[in-house]
Parts: sequence; C-alpha cells; structure tokens
Amino acid sequence: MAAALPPIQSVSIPHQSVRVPVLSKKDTLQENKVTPVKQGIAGLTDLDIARHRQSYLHNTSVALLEEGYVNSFIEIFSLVESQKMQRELAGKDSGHYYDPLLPAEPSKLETLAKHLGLAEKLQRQGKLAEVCSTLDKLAHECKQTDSWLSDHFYKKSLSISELIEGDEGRKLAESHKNLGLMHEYQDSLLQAIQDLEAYFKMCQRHGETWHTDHGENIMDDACEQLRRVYTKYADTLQTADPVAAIEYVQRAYDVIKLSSYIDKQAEACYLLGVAYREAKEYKTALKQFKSYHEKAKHNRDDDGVIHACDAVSDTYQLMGEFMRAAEYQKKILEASQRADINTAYTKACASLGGIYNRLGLYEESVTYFERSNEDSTAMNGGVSNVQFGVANAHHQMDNYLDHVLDYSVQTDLGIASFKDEHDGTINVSEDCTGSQDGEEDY
Amino acid sequence: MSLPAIPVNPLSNPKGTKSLCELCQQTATLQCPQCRVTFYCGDKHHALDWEGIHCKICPLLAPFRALSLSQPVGRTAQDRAAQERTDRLREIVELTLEEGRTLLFGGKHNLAVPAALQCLKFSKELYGTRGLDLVQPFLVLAEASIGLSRLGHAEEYLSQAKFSLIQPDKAKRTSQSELDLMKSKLNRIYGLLYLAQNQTHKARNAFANDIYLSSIANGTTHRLVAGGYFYLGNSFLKEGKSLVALPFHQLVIKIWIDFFVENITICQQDINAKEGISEKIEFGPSVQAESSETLKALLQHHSKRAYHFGDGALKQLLASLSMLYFLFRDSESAKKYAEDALQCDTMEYRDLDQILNSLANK
Repeated sequence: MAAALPPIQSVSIPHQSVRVPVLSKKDTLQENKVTPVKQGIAGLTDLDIARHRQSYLHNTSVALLEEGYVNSFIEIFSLVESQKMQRELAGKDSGHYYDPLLPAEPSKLETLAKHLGLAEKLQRQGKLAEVCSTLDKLAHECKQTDSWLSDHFYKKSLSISELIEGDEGRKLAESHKNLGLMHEYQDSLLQAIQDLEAYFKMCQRHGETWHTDHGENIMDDACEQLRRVYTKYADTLQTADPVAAIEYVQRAYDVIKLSSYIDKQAEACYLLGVAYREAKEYKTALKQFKSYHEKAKHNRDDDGVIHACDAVSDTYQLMGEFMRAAEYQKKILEASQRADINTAYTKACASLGGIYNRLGLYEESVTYFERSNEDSTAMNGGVSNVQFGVANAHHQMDNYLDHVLDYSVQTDLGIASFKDEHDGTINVSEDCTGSQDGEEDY
Repeated sequence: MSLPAIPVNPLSNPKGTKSLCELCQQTATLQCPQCRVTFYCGDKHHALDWEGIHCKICPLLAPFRALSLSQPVGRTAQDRAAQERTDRLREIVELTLEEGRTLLFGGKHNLAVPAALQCLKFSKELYGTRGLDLVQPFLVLAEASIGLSRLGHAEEYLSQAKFSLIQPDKAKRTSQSELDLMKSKLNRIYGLLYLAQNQTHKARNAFANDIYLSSIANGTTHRLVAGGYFYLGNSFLKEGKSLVALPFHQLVIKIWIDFFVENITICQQDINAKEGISEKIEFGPSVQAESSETLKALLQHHSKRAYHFGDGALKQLLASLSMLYFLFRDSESAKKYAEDALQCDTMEYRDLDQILNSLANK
C-alpha cells in the first residue's frame, strides 16, 4: 500500500536566498542556556497559571497568607461570610439582594487586603497609633459604597485605640469622633450623639493641649460637631416630640457656648428661639431672638441683625403686638439701607405694608407697599404689585365710605361720575379724587 | 509480636495463580500463619507489615478472601454475597486509612507505608483503578515517603493523587466541600514536599492554598484548618521569621482549645459517660495523634525560645494538652498539664480554671 502512494516531492530550498544572521557557536550555546527547554505557556509559571484559574477571593487570601497576614485573612473571610448571611436574612425583596458580593468585586478585595495587611504588619511592630490611622483610612474609602464595612473598621479602630498608652487618649478620642461621624452619615443620630459626647468629654479634659490638624483648638471642633448632631437630631424630633426637640436645641446652644465660634453661637441661639416659637412659647422665643439680635449687633453682622429683627418681628406678630413688630421691621430698613441689601429692604417694606394694612393704617400701608413695589418689580413678579393694589383699594375704600356716609347730591354725583369713568385700573382713585375736587368746586 | 511465618510452596498453587509479596510484589516464599491469605518475600517485609497494619486486619482478611472465592448459587445469594463483600471491603479501607494517618502523625513513617499500600489495594478493589477514592491512600503514601526522605516517590504519589482528583466524578458521590478538603490535603502534602526540598516560597503558596480551601469547606477556625496554619507557621519559623509565625501558632492553639472545651463540655453534660468520658465524642485516634503532635511541637518551640507565647497563650496550650490527655484516658498526664496550666501567672482565660481544677483533682 505504501508503495502505491505518490512519492513526496522534495522541495528544493534555494540556498543563500535567505540570509540567516551568523551566530558563533558560543552565542547559540548561551542562548540555549537562557531559555529553558520547558518554558510553559508564554513564560508563565505554574503558580501564575493557577492564579488565573482561581477566584479573586482565593488569590487575595493566598497572597495574604503567603505574606503571613493570617488575621487579615480571617477577617476578610468573616466579612464575606457575614455579608452573605446579611443578604439571606434580608431576603429577596430587600432591594439589595442582587448587589454584587465582595468576592465578585476584585478592586474592593484588593483595597481591603492592602490596608488590612498593612495594619497587621504595623500591629506586629507594635505601632498601634498607625494601625488606627490605616484602619480609619480604609473605613473612609469604604464610606461611600459600603457603609457597613466602614462601620466595622471604625469600630475596630476604636477597640484598638483603647489599647494605646501614652497619648492621653488622643487616638481614642479621634476614633470616637470618626465613629460618631460615621453614624451621623448613616443617619443613626442617637449613636452619633453618644460617640461625639464621648469625644467631647475627652476633649474637655485635654482641651488646652490638643489641637486639630489645622492647628485649631480641639475643643472648638468637638463643640461644633456635637452642636451639629444635636441640631440635626432636634430637626427629626420636631414634629413628633417638640419638647424633646427643644431640649436638644438647648443642648446644642449650651455646647457651642463653650467654643470660640461666635457666629455658630448666634445661629444656635436663633435656632433655639425658632424651637420655642414652634412650641408656641413666644416669650422665651422672644428672649432668645433678642439675645441673637444683641450678638449680631455686637459682631457687626448686618445679615444677622436683619435676620434677628425679622424673627423678633415675626414673633411679635404671632403674639398680636403689631406696633412692636413694625418697630423691628423698621430696624431692618435701617440696617439694610446701611448695608445696602436690596432684597431685605424690599421684604421689610412689604412686611411693614402688611402690618399696617392689618392695623387699618392704610395710608402707611400704601406708602410701604409702594416702596416695595418700586424695588421689586423686576425681582418679585406680580406679587408686590397685587399687594400694592390691594392696599390702595383699602385706602380708597375709606374715601368711598366717606362719600357714601355723608350723603348729599354732590357726593352722589361724584360717585356716579366715578362709576361712569371707572375703567377698572388703579387710576380709579384719581378719578374719584378728581370728582371730589369737582364737588368742592361746585 | 507476630507468629513465625510459614513457608509456601509455589507448586501447590492452582495453575495460573502466583502468590506475590504484599509490599513489594515479588514472588512470595512465606505466608501469614493466621489468615493464610497474605504472602511475603521474606521475614523483613512480614515483620514490617505485621507491625504496620496486618495485626489489625489479619482477622478480617480470611473471611473476606473466602467470600471472594465462594461462588454462591442463585441471584439473591449472589447479591447478598456481593453486598457483604463490599461492606467488608469498605470496613477494611476505612480501618487501614485511619491507621495509616495515626501512624503518620505519630512519626512512624515506615510503618505507615504498609497500611497505606493495603488501603490503596483494597480501595482499588472496591472503587476501581481510577477515581477520587484513591486520593486519600495516595496522600498517606506521599506523606510517609516525605517522612522517609524518599522525595522522588513522594512526588510520584502526589501526581497520582492530583490526577485522581481531576477525574470527572461521574457518580457525583462527592460533594463540593469534600472535594475542597481533598484539594486542601493535597496542597498540604505538596507544601511538606516543597518544605523538604527547601523551596520555601512554593511551600508557603501550597500551605496558603490549603488553608483557603479548607476554610471554604469548614470556616476559618475548624480543626481541619489547624494543620495548615501550623505548617505555614513552621515554614515562616524555618525562614527565621518568628514574629510572623507566632500568630499562626497562637491560632492553632485557639482552634484546638475550642475543640477540646466543646468536647469536654459534651462529656460533662452526658450522664451516661463512663469515667467522665462520653460515647458521643466523634473523633478517632488520628485526631488524637494530630493534636498531640501539633501541641507538643508548639510547646517545644516555646521551650526552645523560638518565640515567646505570652502567659495567656501558654496557659491555653497547657490546658488543651491536659484536656487532650483526659479525653484519651491518660489521667496522669492530664493532671500534670492541668497543674502546669493553673500555675501560669495570668488573668486571662479565667473561664478555663473550672475545667482545669476538675482535671487536676481527678
């Protein structure tokens, strides 16, 4: 059979048509030495190939263990497990059921491994303060995407900082602050308050020696953080439990009084006033607003003064004391003219107009509405225009009533002519006045 | 000690059958006087096999071989015979495997070889020549070979085990976690091989894989993972990084002490326990051998000042040794270690004191 096959044609290779670079015998030998006979696929070692086949979690764990970071390995493992368990507990309807798990997110695993490994290394060397900073950094990185991780690491950092000796608890205080801010971020405000209060107490003890990274006194920072959280918490309580809300606003004010932030103190004072006003305790509210006013005056803060006067005037209006309310609105006029703040001026004019309108002093009312209208035609659209119109109409109503009450032929004629020429515009008043003049002429 | 072997006459065999040595597959000249179904090439192999495994399985072998030779009539009788044969085979396989592991942990590598060979032989008879069930005996063989410094043989056995492991599991008898455990064991033995070859980097990688795989199957703090931590710690110790090794070994102690405390609690709660030891405890002599070897090695590291455990960890170590001896009915040693543990000057782990006191006073 083999003989029946056609002979394979020998392919003649033209000699010297392709120039092969000439190598000396020595060179080829060296080259052979460099490249081993069994090189594997594209220069990969067995370990590399295994790495490509295994899962991210597998590779991350192995890398950690190879370097000896056994605690980090266990921690990552337990985090993965707890995430799975949380998800199962929450059930399929929870909305987060189909979010990717940690093992499916290589970049997150990498971040975790990197920081935890570093932290473990530092811990081995006994540098606890740096361990805390590393954990804080990691927690900060997770804050946006996985707040549960962030929470976990801040707590861990807190527990480690408790072991630190020789820094008077500075690191512990910072850990409390971080955890507090984390809770605030997660909207668990009561826990945030607890942590920040702990931070505040520690700062109170060492307020004179500790400083923040920006060189400020740490006490200021502590007061401000606590004030913010108290205020936030009070906001959430406002509808449900106004009394408790007042208590927290009061606490915020008390705490900020210990700091050197004057503007924040004024703000807290104002908020306290607002809280009392919401609770219909007008007298107390008034006291707070007035004290806010004093503070603003003291700080030469025109905006603050305007704000304060506005609040005071508002409260007086609620109490029904309109003359006093008007008095404070006039103070706003002064202040806004001084500081050249148009919007405040216009607003104050409108408010004054409103107050006088309410009091039945239509003439003053028209004056102020007119001022407000002049300024605000561009800004305010039709609102002030309408107000001005209404006030004017009220004012003219007096005239009209006079004519009707003092009945005579002349007044009757006046009214008739007014009605004839009445064209529904604001000029009606002029007509009326015109006819009045006419009556006098008769 | 075994009875003297009796000579065999090859000519008296039926035609076509050849008696071969159990250990080396050479033509046999001796046979076991008790079961009369096991043959040896010489006294040396007879003695080795007897000490390693044959003393345990000799009484099981004769009826089993008789069963293989019998030819029952009728389908039900045949079925019953086949079933009995499989049952007995399985019994022998399990016994030999457990014995092999126990000998390995006890450091008797040369005795473990016959046990593993027997196990391999019967496994092949039971499951066929390829498949996942051969992995375990291959691994025992490999580990024994490493212990005997026959690294070439070890590598061969390991690749056999690896090959068996990648066979498709058609019957699906093996669950994923069992598979992971086998892989982890394979990695562990590879690690030991690399360690013996002084390739520490590869060894660390293998042990790391071992830890990961067994953690996947059972969680990170199961006693099956403890071996991986122990060896990885050892390889760091070998490189002189005692600070890195320390957390690994502390973890090993923690795993074992948790395991023992759990078992002691079971014993204390069981009213039917004889001499304080319950029947409910489910672990065999290989666990005993593993834990005692591991813990003793750790104690040795500590006393050689490779690193310093700290009083808390030392107390845990001594306490776990004490509990170990108690559970395996060596109350003298248990008492000694319990007293040592109580003398540790530490305020940590006060919860152990109650157990330790009861052990020390027994």
